[in-house]
Amino acid sequence: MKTLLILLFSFTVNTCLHSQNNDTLFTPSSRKLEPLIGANAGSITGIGFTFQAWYMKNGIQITSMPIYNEEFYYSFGASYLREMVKSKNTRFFLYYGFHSSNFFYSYKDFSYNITGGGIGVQVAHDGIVLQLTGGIAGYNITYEPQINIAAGAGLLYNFNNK
Amino acid sequence: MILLKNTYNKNNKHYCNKFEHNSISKMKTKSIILLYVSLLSISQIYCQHTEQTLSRNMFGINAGALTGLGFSYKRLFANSTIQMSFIPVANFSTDNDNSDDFFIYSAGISYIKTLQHHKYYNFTFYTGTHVTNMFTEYSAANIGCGLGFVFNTNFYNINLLLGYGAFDFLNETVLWPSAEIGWFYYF
Repeated sequence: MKTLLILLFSFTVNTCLHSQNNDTLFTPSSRKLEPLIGANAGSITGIGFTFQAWYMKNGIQITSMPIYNEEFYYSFGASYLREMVKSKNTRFFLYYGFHSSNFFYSYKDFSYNITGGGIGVQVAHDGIVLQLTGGIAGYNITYEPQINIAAGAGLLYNFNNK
Repeated sequence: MILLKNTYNKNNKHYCNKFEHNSISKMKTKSIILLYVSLLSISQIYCQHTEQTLSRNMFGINAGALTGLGFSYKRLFANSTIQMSFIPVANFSTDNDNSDDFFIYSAGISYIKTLQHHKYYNFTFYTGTHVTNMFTEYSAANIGCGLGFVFNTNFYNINLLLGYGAFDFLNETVLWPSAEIGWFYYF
């Protein structure tokens, strides 16, 4: 009986310690809005200045870059992000987005539209966040659709870093 | 000391112990004085170092479409900075042939506001204006704003800023993103 009690106690302590470790590694998503701002370049997510906001496990990202030089050029991207795993400094997420741009064509009325999704990772250090994304996308979906791989990178600043 | 100890040890043990005790006390005193002087020297060096880091004036070089090109001066305030950049380049010939003469310049002034402080860098907002004739036949003025990082050390800091501006806005306006980089030393 005494041995059984000792074993039970050991098991309980071990379980508690294990759960504490998990909490340390994967912090629960806060209910506070988490805004980030920076620059991004991606075939699905868009090119230019970017704003990202997370609320619990859901996030949105808006990327835009208007350029005027006798003619008007633009890139606009909007993405939905879904958090999968989050640790203290790293966050893995799934994303799906849409990107419209006329950067790559000389005639301004032609919009090149891309949509697709994939997986992304954010690595943070002292408020500075490096974001890498990769996936698969349908390119030029409104004229001549093609399916190809997609990639993107971004550098962001997290306002809720303290 | 050992010799004295041997000599007096047999006859007067008390005197020997007293002598030894005095010598050790003197050595201790000397050690304490030496330690005090050393600490004082170190603290003086540290004070000089601290004064250097607390300087509000910085000088360096800067390159940016909104903040200007060339030599740059920064004046630091509590949460903000005024930055001025300037470089003149000229060639004036002394003979009558003036075909090679030129004068180009770049002058910029900017305001940098610290939004959040960190251990090694500050996250900042900046706005600036830049006048130059380096890329056009006439003086073109640029204006804009953005966000960026100012990385700090005890001796120098580095500006890495990214923004958006209206270039040559007095003549043919072009809207375009802008980047600024600068290296500054405390003086």
